[in-house]
Amino acid sequence: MIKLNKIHKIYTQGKIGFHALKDVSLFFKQDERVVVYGKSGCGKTTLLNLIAGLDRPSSGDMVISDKLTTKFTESEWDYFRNHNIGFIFQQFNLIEHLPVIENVAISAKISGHRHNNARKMALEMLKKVGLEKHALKKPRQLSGGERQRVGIARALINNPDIILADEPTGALDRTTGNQIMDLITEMAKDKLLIIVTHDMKLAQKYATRLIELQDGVVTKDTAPDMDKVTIRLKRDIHKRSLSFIEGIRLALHNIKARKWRTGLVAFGLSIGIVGLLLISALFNTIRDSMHAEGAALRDNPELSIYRPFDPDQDAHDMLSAIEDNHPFFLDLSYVPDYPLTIIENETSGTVYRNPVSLGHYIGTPVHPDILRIYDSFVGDGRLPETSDEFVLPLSKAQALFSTHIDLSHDELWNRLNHHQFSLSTNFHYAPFELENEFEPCLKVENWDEDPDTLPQSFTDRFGDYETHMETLTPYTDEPVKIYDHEQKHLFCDDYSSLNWFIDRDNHKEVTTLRLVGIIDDRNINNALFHPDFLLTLEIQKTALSNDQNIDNENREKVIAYIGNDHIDQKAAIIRSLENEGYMVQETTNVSFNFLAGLTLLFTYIIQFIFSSIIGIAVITAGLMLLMVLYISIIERTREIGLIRAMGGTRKDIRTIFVGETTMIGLFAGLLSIGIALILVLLGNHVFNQQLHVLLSRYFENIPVDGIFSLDIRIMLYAVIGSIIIAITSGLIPAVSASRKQPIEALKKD
Amino acid sequence: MLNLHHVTKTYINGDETLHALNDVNLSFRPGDVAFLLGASGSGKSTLLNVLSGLDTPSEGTISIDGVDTERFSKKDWAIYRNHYVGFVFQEYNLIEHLSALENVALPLLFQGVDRKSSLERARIELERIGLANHIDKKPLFLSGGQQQRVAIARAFVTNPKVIMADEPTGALDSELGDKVIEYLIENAKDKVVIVVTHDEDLAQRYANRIITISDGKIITDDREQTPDTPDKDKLSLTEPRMRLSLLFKFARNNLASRMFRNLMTAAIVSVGFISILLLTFIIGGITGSISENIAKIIPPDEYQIHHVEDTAIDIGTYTAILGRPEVDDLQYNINETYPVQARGNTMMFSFLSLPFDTLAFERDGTFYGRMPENDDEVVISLRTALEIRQMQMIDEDSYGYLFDLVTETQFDLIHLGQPHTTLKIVGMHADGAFSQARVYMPYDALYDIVSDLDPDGDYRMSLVTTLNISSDNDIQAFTQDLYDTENVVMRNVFAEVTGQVESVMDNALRWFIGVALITLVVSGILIGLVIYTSVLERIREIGILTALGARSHNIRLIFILESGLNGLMSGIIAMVASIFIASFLNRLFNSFIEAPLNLITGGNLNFTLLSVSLLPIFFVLVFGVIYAMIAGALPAHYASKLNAVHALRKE
Repeated sequence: MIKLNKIHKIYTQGKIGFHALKDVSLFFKQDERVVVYGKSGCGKTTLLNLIAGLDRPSSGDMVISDKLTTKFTESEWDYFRNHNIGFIFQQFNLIEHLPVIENVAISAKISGHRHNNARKMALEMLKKVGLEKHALKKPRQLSGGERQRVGIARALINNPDIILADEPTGALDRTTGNQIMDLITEMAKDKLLIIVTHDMKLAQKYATRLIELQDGVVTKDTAPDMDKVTIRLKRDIHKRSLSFIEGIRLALHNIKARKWRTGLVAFGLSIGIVGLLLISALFNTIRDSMHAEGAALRDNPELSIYRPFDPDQDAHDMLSAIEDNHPFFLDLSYVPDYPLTIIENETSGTVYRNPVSLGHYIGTPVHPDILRIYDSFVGDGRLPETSDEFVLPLSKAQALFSTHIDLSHDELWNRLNHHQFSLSTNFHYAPFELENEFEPCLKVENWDEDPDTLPQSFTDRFGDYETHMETLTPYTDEPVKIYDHEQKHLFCDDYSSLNWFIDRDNHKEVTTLRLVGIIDDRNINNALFHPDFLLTLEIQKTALSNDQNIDNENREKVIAYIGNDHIDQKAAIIRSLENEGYMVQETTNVSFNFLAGLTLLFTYIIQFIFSSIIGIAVITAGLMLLMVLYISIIERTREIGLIRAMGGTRKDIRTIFVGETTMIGLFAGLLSIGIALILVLLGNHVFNQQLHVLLSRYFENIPVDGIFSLDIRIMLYAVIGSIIIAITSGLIPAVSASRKQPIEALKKD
Repeated sequence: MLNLHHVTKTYINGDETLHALNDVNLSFRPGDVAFLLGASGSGKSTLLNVLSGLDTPSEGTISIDGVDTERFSKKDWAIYRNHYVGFVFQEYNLIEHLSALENVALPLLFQGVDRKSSLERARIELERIGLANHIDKKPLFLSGGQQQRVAIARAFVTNPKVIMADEPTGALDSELGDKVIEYLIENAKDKVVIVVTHDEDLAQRYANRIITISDGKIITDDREQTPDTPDKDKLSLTEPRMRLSLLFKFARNNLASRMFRNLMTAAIVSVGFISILLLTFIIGGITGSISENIAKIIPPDEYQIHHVEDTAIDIGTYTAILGRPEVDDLQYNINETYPVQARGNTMMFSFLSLPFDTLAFERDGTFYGRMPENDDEVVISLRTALEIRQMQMIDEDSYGYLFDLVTETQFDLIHLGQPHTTLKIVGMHADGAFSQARVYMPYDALYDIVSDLDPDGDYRMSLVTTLNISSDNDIQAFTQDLYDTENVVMRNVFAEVTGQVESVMDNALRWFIGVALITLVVSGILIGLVIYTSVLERIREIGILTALGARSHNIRLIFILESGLNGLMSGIIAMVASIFIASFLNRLFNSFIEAPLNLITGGNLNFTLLSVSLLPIFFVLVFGVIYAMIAGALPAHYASKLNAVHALRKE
């Protein structure tokens, strides 16, 4: 059965060698009960370890069941130990955090049995040793004798041919020891049983064969026998290992046993993940609110419908014409589309050196949906309600003051609130590009020299010219003739190519209006007037007589908002308006889009910075996990050794540790979701007030009910991420655990 | 001396209830050499533990010198063990990292005896036991017999009244064992000696009293004694004081024995500190560099004055402001462009008044020539000089030559319809590649020209001034006063710009560090867990210390100190690493971003991305230690609450 041939074993520690076994040749038969006895240090445990493959002889051969085991590879040994050898230890070596039944079943699981099957087998074994009632208890709840019974059940569950027992009664009192010995001999009937002990009485009582070892030499053998053995050199290829599910199951037991520690580690890992979740939740809301802000404008697209100034057509006509033809518009407002400038603050008496041009302006929308959007953009004050009121965008309000000073919004509003302003609403025009003032003559090309075809005459060279220019106006129907009395060339070009500009210093009509509000121009850059006021402006409109020269200042427009229900007909609406002779432009608020894009980019950058800083916490947590696992492996060296002694392969050890890290990762992920949800609820209740004020300064549409919104997808990522981090962190310790030598591991303490 | 009265001790192990002691009545007197005999598990060790207060009886009372111990606190027991009891264990239980001498001196040090006399007494004790040659050896280098003798010396060094020995010869061969016992008995006259053994032979030879125990019951006691009357010398419990340096030594050893692990831990913990330090450095560096570079462009001590509404500041207001005692020097901010004729060409140059602080010319760039002394003398900028000579660029080395060329140039400011003003170039400000064509004139001369040419007063839009007040409050009050009375706003552009940068950066730093603190929570957990592991590994040592009379707060302190040391280590790692990383990043930034940028700016940019400052480092060091101590407090507390018996039993 087992043949040892000239086995030597030398241990070296530093430079000192220790000859533990000297030339041991033994032969054990199938049904022997061998007791190897001797003092401590005589080499008996070494012998046992060699037979079990936990240790390798320095020289000599060993044949077990016709296999030359000295040539075994590690995995062959693992398989062999698992199936052919049952080990019983002095210190029982039960895994403390596993219930009794799992302690027994683990050996079967290592040999590839499924969970249920292994447990059934374990329960049967426990019945045989009389412990079926204690199956679900933890080892520490058992007495010494009971523990050793568990050890016996475990050794025998895979029905091995060889039972090796190392001082099985060493830690028990005499009565219990005898019971245990009875049980072992009973259970190991017709198996080879090798017991190592220093207890002579025990040896004599139970042995069928006694072997005495002294200083590594066999000094006595009651039944020496030396048979020839056949050796089969064919290698068996075995594939079986602990399933990952089993790894998880074992991990769960271990986690349960070290609740606090595992909990803390998982908590540590989850802190960073919670941080990432919260940051993402906060920025979700911010981005959502930005999106909502844009959506309000996007939902009702704004069209600018232009037509050239037409002195014959009333503004009302234009409005009603568009309205009648297109019932899709929510709101229409007429804008003369020529520049208005603020020239004086009547209340404070300031005459502006540089009149402030208003740029774009529109009428206050009437439709409640549109009105609400504009309402939300009013920073101070309100929208105009009567035709003598108006609202300025922030930038224009600031332009009323020195550009060098930075007035706060409140200060600005205090200084402008309900002030009366003079607005220049109609202007004198002046011809553009008067040639160089040093040149008295304006040349007119293609002039036929006929005084009648020239514009109006002027008598003097320079002064007269100016005087006459004043009578020039782009709005007269008749061409004005300009020539000098000496019939010299007067224009550089012909009359029609004269460009006109609005002479802002020369106001034709001035209206007094009251400022009632300031609009936050982050979104809208328009001044707002009451629609009626804009309609009265229409009366003053005039057009150039020569209409080749229509530019932005010579047209009028209607701002129309397409209702959200007709949004899909937008193209058709535009086309039909164009067919009616209008020029249609879809208003895309470039400044808004650009700013929104920039803000969006900014939020991503900020989120990235914060996430990176929190990422450091996650990395630290990963390292912590690595550290804790590394320590825990030192603590569990014995357990690792035991599993290896039962035939667990390196891969099995890895599986167990990876299972554990997976569970920690999963736990951390779930924990972080839980904590994050609680913090979100708490944050939305407790911190909402303060943070909301802060955030709404920059993002208008922050929902009032909550500044955090967690996305289910992000939570899923969190769990997966934390599992990946945990497994990655646990990889090095798991590998290092699997490399532990079983004999060293068992020797530990 | 020692009396046990109906003492019972029960353990529950699984379903079994084990009577380790079952109604034990015993009393010991000085001079007793009592051997407790019994098989393993008979309860003899439990009896010893109960007698020393390492274990408390389930029922019954123990009295020492007539004092009932029922009300003994853990502290009292510790003092009692320290002063009254000398322990000898089977496994010697020496502290591995202390020398033989220090091991023996330990109980004295626990008593608060000063180090010198403790060591002296320990030396005497060791010499007496024949180990004079081995006093400085660590236990590992001593044989079993020598180790046991050290343990005996340790038991005797405090001159206790009771010697308790638990299988003192168990690990020794019989010859050595005999010697040890003989020494024990010889030196323990008029003490109570209680020896627990299972060696009947030994007992027969040395005992003057043999007590046999089985299953927790006294089977035989060959000299039954009646409880004695209280002794003359009362039990006095003076509180021992343990020196911090001793505890520190334990803590340091804990750390050193697991150096790799502790270094790893410290390194991991330092990650959080490093990130905090680097954030502080980078924010400090950027803020500082921005201010520094802004100061080159905007003079920090100049104040600009503007009218609130965008109108000119009239002469009346000017005079009013100039009349203020706070105002040093007040000028209109003149920056007018006029045509200039030089070398037959007409060019346009900006005319500015000389800055208040003419040294600014030298701070920002190089200055050639001298400052104007007369009204017709001017300083020109590099660009002006180049334009006069009709050049685009010139090498930096030739600036001086260029200046020499332009000083001789006829330089006429053109007045339309009036005679030209001839100006004399006396200085040149070479202000780098971004130089603008400027001419600096004395203010009064320039003002005369400008007010003459531009009667509308476009130049009156703003004023520039220096102040003779410096405190922020005064300046603020003065600003407010001007605002109220003259309707003008006075601002310090430098302070505004840098102030804005600083406040943004400060806020950013606050948020970043707030977020980075999350990492410290993780670090705290790690420290806690590592200290907890250290406690688990030191259980035996804790047991020995407890048996020698160390009190729970001493043990707690050892582990708190250990975590403090760990924190210090992480702080030091963080310091070194962050300084290293900072200088590395600075180099990287300077050679890859600043240097190319300076090709454009002409070397004017001087940027330090991360500025290493000592205050945050110091703060991190102190905080690291304190934080680690807090993190280690919980496991340390757990260690202090460990049951000594279990601790010693742990193999």
